[in-house]
Amino acid sequence: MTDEMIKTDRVITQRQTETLNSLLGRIIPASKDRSMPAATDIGFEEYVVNIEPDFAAVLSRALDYLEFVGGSDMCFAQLSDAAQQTAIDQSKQKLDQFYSALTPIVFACYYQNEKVLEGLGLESRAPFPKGNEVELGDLSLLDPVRARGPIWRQLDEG
Amino acid sequence: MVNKTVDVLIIGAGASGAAAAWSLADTGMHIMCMEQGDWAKQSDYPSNTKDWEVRRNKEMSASPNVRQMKSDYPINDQESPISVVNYNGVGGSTVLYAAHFPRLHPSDFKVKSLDGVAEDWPIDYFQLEPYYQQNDKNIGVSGLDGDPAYPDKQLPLPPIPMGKMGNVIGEGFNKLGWHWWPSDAAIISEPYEGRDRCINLGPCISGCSQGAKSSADVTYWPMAIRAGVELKTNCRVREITVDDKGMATGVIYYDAQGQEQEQKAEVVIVACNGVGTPRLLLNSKSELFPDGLANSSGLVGKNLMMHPWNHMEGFFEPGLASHLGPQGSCVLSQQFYESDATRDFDRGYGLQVTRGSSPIATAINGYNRGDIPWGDGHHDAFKKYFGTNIAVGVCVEDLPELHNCVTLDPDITDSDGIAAPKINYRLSENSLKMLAHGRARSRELLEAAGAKQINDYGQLRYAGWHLLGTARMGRDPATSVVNEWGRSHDVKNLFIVDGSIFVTSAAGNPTTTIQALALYIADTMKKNLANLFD
Repeated sequence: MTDEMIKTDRVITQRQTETLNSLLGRIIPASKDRSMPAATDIGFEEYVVNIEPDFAAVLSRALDYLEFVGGSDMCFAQLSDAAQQTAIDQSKQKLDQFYSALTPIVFACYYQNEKVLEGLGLESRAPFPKGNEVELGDLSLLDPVRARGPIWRQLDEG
Repeated sequence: MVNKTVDVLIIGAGASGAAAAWSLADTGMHIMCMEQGDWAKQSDYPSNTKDWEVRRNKEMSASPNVRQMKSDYPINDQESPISVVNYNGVGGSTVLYAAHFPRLHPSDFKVKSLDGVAEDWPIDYFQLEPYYQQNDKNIGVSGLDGDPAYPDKQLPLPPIPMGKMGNVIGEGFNKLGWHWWPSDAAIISEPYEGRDRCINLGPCISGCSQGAKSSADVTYWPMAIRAGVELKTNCRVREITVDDKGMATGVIYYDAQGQEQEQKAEVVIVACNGVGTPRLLLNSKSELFPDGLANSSGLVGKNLMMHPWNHMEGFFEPGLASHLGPQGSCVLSQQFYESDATRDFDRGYGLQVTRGSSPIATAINGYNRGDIPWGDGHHDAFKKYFGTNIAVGVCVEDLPELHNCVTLDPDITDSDGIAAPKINYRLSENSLKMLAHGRARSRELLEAAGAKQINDYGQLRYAGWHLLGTARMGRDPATSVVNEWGRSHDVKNLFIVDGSIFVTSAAGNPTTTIQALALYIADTMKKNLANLFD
């Protein structure tokens, strides 16, 4: 494995990708019944390139720091679960802004993914043109409101 | 370059400019409207694409400071707890508004007489009523007749659906014995005048791809253009010019290429909203009007009102599907709208019940609250919070105060070099008391409806949709900017038709009143054409 860019449209190295995947798997792991994928399986890197390009450099630097904090000869991805968590906790002071920015971007990518939406029982589509059905609601519930009569202030009340 | 003189020049193609243009079109006069933005395309709105939730917070953000379209101008709101939100293009902010359409009440026009606060309007509800009705018919408004919070009114279309959440919150209101009613909405619930009905896309506030939201670009403008009104887009007016007699002569503007142009007009109508209008008037300084045009009272830009807003939400059992339906309109309670001497504040507020959150917003908000974590608990937590929330907004009447104002920023300009507006605003003690009262009632309501969890987010920053009062109407030139039919006291051929002429803000969304006022002013102009400048 080298730190060279693998493809021109990649914003992070292979080793950083492994670190990122470990981190993403900790943010949103697959559900126990496997109906919901992990955040590692939603094309996050491509999402950053296309939708959040300004975040790419921040992401790259943060992943390097996380690797550094891991403090082992092993890469972050190879650390034990507990060691990974320790590294994340230790990085929080320095990477607080990064984590604050990362989380909504991961969630935004995740909750528009086809597999995720289908796992939630939703259709993976734009709202238009199909739209949605919404029931009118029970207008008879307004009977007590009607029964109480007008509540607007008559001007001759002074 | 000076263009041919037009009879009437309207500045701004939003809610009020569009309504005025339509009304005046039947005079046969040469009517031109200049709009700094362009037409929005329904096919470009976020709800056409799967990534709509992300796009609506970027290119269709309601904040001009975030959106930064070419047509937007920056607004310095550092000195305000409420940020201005708007849209600059044909249709104005109706392109992005929620289309909630409550009228003012009769008492709103008489606050001084009834409650001893602020000033009475120089007109009343019943003068405006036919224009409310005309506007409802022109654009297509949906709602349920018989609301006991109002004098009788009939809307052209049946209400938009409340959904299951409407039943749940309605039961809560009924337990408390409080007023509630399906919201009046400028959204067509049935096919209307060539437009198809609302199909519950959801994100009304990032543009309606269906065209069912009755924004001015799909309602008034097609009618006005068919009737002969000339609409010039991508033209940003810098200043209104005057002659040595103090009459408006037209405008200087920048065209789409950024070239300075001049347009002469017999009558100028300003329709740029409660921030854009004072900005334009203050930028229109001259020898005769050194403090800005139409500003002999010193009130241009003063008395800015924006409706402080508290946001709370409750979470209920799964199955509500509360994320579906027109986002900003579901149920309105006016239980606390009218004044009550037993309370410790003047005037009142509305409780606006709005829809739940879409998937990405659910996840991000839940994480920020600490309810939806990283890791193993994520999926269960998400399912608990998705589609189960009902929002309750407190919209308080914002009374006019001189220190709440729009001025010209000394440093910031738009892309044409025109001074940007600066907002200085603070919440009054009265507003704070009302917000506190409304928060307590919101919690009471959500508890009565059976909420399992309640979150109070407090007063919202990005709530500055309603920009009112900065060129108010009145009979006395010393205490108002325009007269009782929108004509400047100082400049006899200058009219203002937007929300800046509001005397008080009432406690609800103002667009129906803004458009009714524009129709009323245009109608009065037509009735007085022979002696318009007397």
